[in-house]
Formats: sequence, C-alpha cells, structure tokens
Amino acid sequence: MSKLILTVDDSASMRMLLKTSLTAQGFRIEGANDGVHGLERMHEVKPDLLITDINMPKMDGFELIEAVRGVPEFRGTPILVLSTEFSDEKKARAREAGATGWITKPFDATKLGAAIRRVCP
Amino acid sequence: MSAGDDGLDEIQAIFFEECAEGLAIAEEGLSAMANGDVSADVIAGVFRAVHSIKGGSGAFGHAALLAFSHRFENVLDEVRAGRIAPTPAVTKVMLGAFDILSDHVAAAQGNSDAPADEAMLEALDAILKGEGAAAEGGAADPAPAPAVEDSAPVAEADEFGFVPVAAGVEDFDPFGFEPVAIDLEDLSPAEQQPWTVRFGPSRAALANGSEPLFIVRELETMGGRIVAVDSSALPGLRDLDPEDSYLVWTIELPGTVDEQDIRECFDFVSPDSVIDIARAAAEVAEVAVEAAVADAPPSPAAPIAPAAVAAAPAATPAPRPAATGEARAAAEPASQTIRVDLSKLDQLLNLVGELVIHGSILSDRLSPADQERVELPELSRLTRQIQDNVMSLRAQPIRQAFSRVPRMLRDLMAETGKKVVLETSGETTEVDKGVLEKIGDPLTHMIRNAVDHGIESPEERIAAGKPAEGTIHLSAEQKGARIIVRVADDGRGINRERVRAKAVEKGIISADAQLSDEEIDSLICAPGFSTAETISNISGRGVGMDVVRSNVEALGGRVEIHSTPGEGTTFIMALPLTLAILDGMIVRLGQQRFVLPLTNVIETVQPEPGQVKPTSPNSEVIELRGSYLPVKRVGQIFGIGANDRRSPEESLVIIVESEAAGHVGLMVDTIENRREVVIKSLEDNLHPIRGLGGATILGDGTIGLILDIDALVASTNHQSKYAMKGMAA
Amino acid sequence: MSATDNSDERKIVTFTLGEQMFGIDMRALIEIREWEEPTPLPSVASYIKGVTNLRGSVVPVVGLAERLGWEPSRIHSRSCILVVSIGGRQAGFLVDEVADIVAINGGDIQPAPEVEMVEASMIAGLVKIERRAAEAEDAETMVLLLDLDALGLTRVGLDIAA
Repeated sequence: MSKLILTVDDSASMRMLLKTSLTAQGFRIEGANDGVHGLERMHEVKPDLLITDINMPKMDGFELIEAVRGVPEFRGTPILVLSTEFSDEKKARAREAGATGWITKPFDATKLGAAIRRVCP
Repeated sequence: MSAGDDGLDEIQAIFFEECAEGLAIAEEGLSAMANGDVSADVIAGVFRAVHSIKGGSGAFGHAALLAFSHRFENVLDEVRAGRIAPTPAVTKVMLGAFDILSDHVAAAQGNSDAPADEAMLEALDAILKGEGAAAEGGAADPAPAPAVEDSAPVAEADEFGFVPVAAGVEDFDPFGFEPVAIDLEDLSPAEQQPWTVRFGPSRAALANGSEPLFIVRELETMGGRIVAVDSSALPGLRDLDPEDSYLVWTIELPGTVDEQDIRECFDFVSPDSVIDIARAAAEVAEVAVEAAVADAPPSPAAPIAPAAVAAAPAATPAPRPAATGEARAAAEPASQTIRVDLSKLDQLLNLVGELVIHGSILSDRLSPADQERVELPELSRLTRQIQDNVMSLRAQPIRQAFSRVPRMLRDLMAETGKKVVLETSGETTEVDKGVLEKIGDPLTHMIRNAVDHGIESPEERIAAGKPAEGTIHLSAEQKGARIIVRVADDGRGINRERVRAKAVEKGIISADAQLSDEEIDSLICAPGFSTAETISNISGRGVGMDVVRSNVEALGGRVEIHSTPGEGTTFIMALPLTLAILDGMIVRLGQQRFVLPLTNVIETVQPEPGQVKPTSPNSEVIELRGSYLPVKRVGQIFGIGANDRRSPEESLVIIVESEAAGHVGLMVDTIENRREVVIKSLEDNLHPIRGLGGATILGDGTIGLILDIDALVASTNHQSKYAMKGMAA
Repeated sequence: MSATDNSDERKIVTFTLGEQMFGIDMRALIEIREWEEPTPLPSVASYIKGVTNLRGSVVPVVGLAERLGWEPSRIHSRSCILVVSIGGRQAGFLVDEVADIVAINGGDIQPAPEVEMVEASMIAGLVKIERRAAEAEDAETMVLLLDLDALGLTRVGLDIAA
C-alpha cells in the first residue's frame, strides 16, 4: 500500500500542486486547508506523513504540530514543514513543536519525494 | 512534473484566484492600517496574504513576482514582529508596494508587462535599514536577539542541521538543503579515504518522528556497513527510558561516496543528535560533536515534553488531549470550504429553477384537495429552501467590488491633486456573484465622478470652511430584495444652473422646461451629457454617468442621485439581489403572457369610463389623482390583439416607473398573478431583443416574455417597432 | 456505394421541405419534436417563429423554408421541429417531414451546385442516396446537405440589429 500523506495548506493551489506532483510519485494524498481542519483530518485519515504549512489562518502550523504530537497515536508520525519561511527562529520553533523536518518553498517535486522517502520510506 | 501541463495550468488558475483574494485581503488590511488600525490581526492578515502569494509564485515559477513579494514580505514580517513601527510613512510605502504587487500578479497572468519595481524595492529596503537601525539603537526592545539572527537569514549553516535553509529568494534553491553544521572546513580530506560516520540519534530526534533505522538503511544502500555500536551510554535496565536513545552507530562508507549524499541522509535528524561524518583519518571533528552531545541530555526539557506524555500514557494524558479537545471544539464553527466551478452553481441554479417551475405546474394542475393529498405544500416549501440555499452559495461579500476602490482613489488623488479619505461600511453585504461581477465598472465611474466633479481642491475646500481632505463614503446594505450601494461625497454638490444650461445646450431639454431639482440632477445621467468644462483625464473619457445608468438598469437596477449644493452628492445604486430570479407580475395580452418586473410597478388601476383619454390618434393619457400620465397599450406595441381594441374599461392600467419617462401607464388585458420567475436569457440561444429582459418558463410549461420597461416606454408608440413576427400575430 | 472506405462514413438525418430533400449531420441533432406553436417574439426576423421550452431552455424555432428563402411551410400533421445544436447553441427547425437516417460517405459529397431558390451559402454540398425499395421510382434521390454554421442565429441576429 502506498504511503498516505496529509497536506495542510491554506492555499488550494499549493495543495493541488502537492497532490499532483506527489500522486505522480506514487503517494496517496489527503488535504486540509488550515490547522484546525488538519487536526481533524489527522484523526480521520491517520496518514503516514503530515506535511504542513506554517502561516495559516485559525491554527498555524506550529500549533498544529504541537496538537498532533500531543496525540499519543501520532507521536511517531513524521511531520514535514513546507513553508516559504526559512528563518532559524521559525525552524527552531517548528522543531520544538515536534516537526521532523523543514522544506523551503518553492519545492522541487522530485526532491520533495526523496525527502519524504527519507523520513517515511 | 509528470502530472502534465494541463493539470498545472488548472492549478495555476486557482493560484491566480488566490492571488486575487490575497490582494483584496492585503489591500483591505493596508487600508485599515492607513486609517490607523494597526492591530496585530490586521498586520498578520496582510502578511499572510502576501506570504501566500509569494509561496505560490515560487511554485509556479513567476520569478519577478516571487522576488518582489519576498522583499515586501520581509518588511511586513518586521512590522508584524514589532521591529518596525507601522507609521503612516511606512504604511504609505506598503500601499505603494501593494500596487506594484498587484501589477506583478497581473504580469504573471500575462495581462501586462512586469512593472518597474526598482524604486519601490529601494523604498522597502530603506524601511528595512532605516527603521531596523532605529529600533536597534533606540528603545529597550525586548526582541533584539532573534532580530539579529533573523535579519541575517542566509549565509550561516543551519546549526541545527534541522533541514534546509534556502538562500535569498533570488537564488532560491528549490530544495536548498544546507549542509549539516559540522565544521569540516579545516579538514583536508584525503581523496578516496573511506568515510566514517558516527550517528547517535538524540531523544528529540525520536520524539519528532524520525526513525534512525531508516537512515542506517539508507547509508547501507550507499555501500555503508555498521562497524560498531557504542552502547556505553545505556543505563541500567531500571533507568532505561524506552523513549530515549542511548546507542551510537559507527558506519563505514566507501570513499567514493559523495559527502553531500551522506549529509542529505541526515537532513531531518534532530540537531542535538550525534552526527559525525569524516574521512577515516580525521578525528578532530568528533570531539566538537561529542561536546555538543554531552550537553544534550540535561537541557532539552521543552522538546521532550511530548515524549514524556507518551512515556507514561496512563498518568499524563490530561493536558494534551485537553488542548486537542479545545482545538476540536474550535473546529466546529470553522467550516470547511471547497472550491466549486461557478458554472456548476449556475447549472444547479437552473435545475432548481426547473424544480420551481415544475412545482408550479403541479399546483396548476392539481385541485387544492389533491395538492394537500400529495403533500405539495411541503414539496414547495422544500423547493423554496433549496432555492434559497443555492442562491446563498452564489452570494459573495460586496467587499470584492469595494476592494478596487482604494487604489483607484490613490491614483485619482495623484492625478487631480485632491485629497480624499475613503470610508466604507457594509462590505460584508452579500450579493449574487453575477451581480458582483457587473457592478465594478459602474462603481468605478461613480467614484471617478465624485472625485472629479464632487470633491473640491484643498484650497477651495478650505475657503468654503471645510476640511482640506474630502470624504467619500462607500456603503452597501440589503433592503428587501435589493442591494443598495451608495457613493456619498462631501463635495460641492451638483451645480444645477450649469447642468441645466448644459442640457439645454446639448438639446436634451428645451430652454423653457420646468424641472424640479431632482430632475435636473438626474440629467447628468442623460445620454451624452457631460458637465466637465474641460475634458479631464479622468471622467471625460466618452463614458459617463449615462453609461453607469444603462449598465445598472441592464442589471435590473436603478440609479438615483441626491445632491445638496455645497454639501455633497450621493449616488445610489439599487441592485437586484440576483440576476437569476425576478419578482414578476404575470400579465395577459391576447393569448400571450408577459412578465413585468415588480420593481417597476407602482400601482394598478382599473380605469373608469373617461379616465383614459386620447390626446392624438396614437397617444393616450390616464388621469390619476389630478395629474395625467401617458398610457401605452402593450398589445399595440407588440402588435398583439390589434383587432381586438378593447376599451380601457375592459383593461387594466399598470402604472410603472421608468428612468426615461418617469411614471407611465401600461395597458394590459388582465393580470394573472404575481410570482417569482427564473430568468432565462434570450442570448443563450438567440440574441438580445430590445424591449425584452429575457424569458421565463411559466407554470404550464409555456414561455412568458419578460418586459424591459425602460426600453418599452422609451420607444415611440409605433406598433411596427415591436411588432410580433411570430405566426400567432 | 463505396463501402470500401468507411473511415469517412457519417450519418445524416433527411427531411423534406416541399419536394426537396435536405439532410443535416446526425451529430448536430438533439431531438425531433412534434410541432407545437412557439411563443412569438417582437423585433425578430420573420423566419424566427418564436421561442419554445425545450427541457427548461428557451430555444428559438426557425421556419427553415423561409430561412432558405422559400415559401413558408404549412403546418400539417407530419410537421416536425428538428432541434439541433449549432456551436453550443440550440435551435429548432420547422420542417415538413422527417424522412430517414442514412449513412453516407464523406467522399461522396459533391460541392453545392448553383441551386436556384436556395441561398447557396447555406448548402454544404449534395449527396445522392438510394431510396427505400418500397417507394422506389427512381433508384436515387438528391439530398442537399445544410451547412448548419451558416444557419446560426446569433449572426443573423446581429445582421438584423445592424
């Protein structure tokens, strides 16, 4: 069974871009449009990997990661941050929240695929 | 990308929709900031909007847009972080930057050339430098430490090894992994010496979902093999924490393997892990890393928190699930959204229209008792609910149309040298998407008109005892089935003498015409009228308020003007809530039925003998409470029932209000009923027909033509003009 | 007929206007309806008989004979409306009688001759088809294929408006 990835991003185009490029690489993709929705979807789909944006309305990526890590079931789920931000401050915060890795937008589909396989072979 | 370009184009189209939304949000926020609202929410909203545009622009390869939005975002980020104060000067630059950003978006869409943004970029940089320095040198700011770190986002290697730091956006590596932070520069690795990699994942690395095994496996695929496992850190069994990590692996790899490939394996590994990559000879680096590791266990209390919860799941689950519960509770009102192609909604609306029609066919055919028996009233109620729901799906806040105004005002101010403050209210009023798309142009003209003709120059205003800055109040509200949009200025008002003189000069009215103030005011909407004494750059473009009026009327709306000399002018657009459904009066003429828009109908008169009088062979008037209104026989206009010249007493006269001719009586055979009808465009399969606003399908499945009152009453009463060409005539 | 090359085979609906047989491409046909008096319209060309309700769409009904410059059709029991799609728009054509659906080969279509009484621009070509045995007097009959695009109503509408 191919890996199931939940992508959380408030931009529909970004979600679709992720879906298109990752589906082509054999992943199954689910999407959510903000942190609150993302957390709901986590419980619903129980993905193998979570990819989340940081800047989102309602519940941002940091809060989402913290919330996800707070659920025992998801403690081992790899979480990648996909963001245009790249300050060390933000990355440290993401790490503290419990992110597994950080990918800077814009992403290259192939490299993203490789990065995903690295944390979620 | 293997997804194919078609898919990408589609996604890109969505991206541009998002850009439009983002721009609207950003502009609204910036305008709020310009008006003094610099709350964190407002600034964060602007930041997020620009940030999203930047994110997508990179993904879709719009380099110029990416570069500009990045620089803009940098400034916004500083403002958001409180390191740059959102002074009026800063906000002004950002408003300018917003305009350039809009132009960049348009350019990315291929609608225009890329704007010249050098000057704006310099202005943004100046803010970053100037204000940033002021903050550092100035107040005892609590945020200095991260500020310094953040302001140098590039260059340094990521000391966490936490994954990639992309360099400046200009040379964005799409997946810019930065090397793990181990100082190897001093080493002079002997070529082809085998690699020795030491890897000891930290506790945090495990807590964040990393799986060390994957990394070891990946190294093995490169030819690596485990040569040693250091288990010296293992505590006694009693102290063993299953969530912690105690092992350090030593893996040897062939010297031919590229160092970068090895490093990439560790991209996602927590920075406090032991990661040591070296040619066999080099031992120096290890020491440094070991030192770091030695620090690791006691310090990272915070990152461990989640792990601690899970280590004792029975004892401590309370706090986290509570947080989760909160989040879930918050999720309830936060509705999910999906994007739907507007054409699908149109289709849905059409189908609901059919449902409504078939419902009325049923009620026409069934006796009241049968209607009850088959529970038709319940079906009608549900149908109505579906209809309302579908209508609400198409409803959009009018904010989208208003959002164009601030920029336009800025341009107008620059062109005219006038100063204008914009106030808006009722932006959340919802209006059908179809209406929304069509009010942009009329609104633009009204604003232009207000600035050009209404608002005085600052000198003139001061001389008149008014503030130098004029005010335009833009508002929207729903009143019944209409949306009322007002553009109110506090300018000089309409100069009625000049308007009147101009209208006489242009032959619109005769020199001796007796006109009320309102009638004079409405002359500025007369075709071909323009009061501008010099054709100004702004309003005198050959289109004027007459175009506004005809556009609004084409939507089934109306324009009103109220003006008080010296105090200002208010333009009022009354628009239908929807373009799809019309409240109509069904009238009968001979065998045919027509629909009169109820908004035009003032009253219905059953003429008494002598109340309708001929004034010439081709014209009649009706006497109504002492005044005379022209009467037109609709049947005659359409050439229906020409042989059956009913006497007025056998007919009904419907008094309608028209822009062109004021109150006019329309004579019809009889009125059938009043009901909502679904408007079907004649253009869909034919072409527009003057005098008709469309058609509808009536309860019995036949077609009723919807009358365009203004076009009808504006016409002379020659029956040839609208004569029916069909076989029935 | 040359059944060897059926790569260009197409089906046409044949119908009569007066004595002449016409055909239109089957792919354009939406449905055939019985004649029903349409709702007349003001200010339109005389061959537009009005509009009718076709499953919720308001569709114009065209007197095809008049459109082609002939005497108007008389309505009788076999009068039909051919509902067709022209460039995504729907129109109904009043015809005297629908005859048949026949397969023809594209290669057998001959260019339109100078046909008197018919606006040549609306004829895409002509083709000979075999008559059905029962009514055979001549073995073949000539069918004028209509160029539906040339019959489109929107352009006509603009002509009138101009």
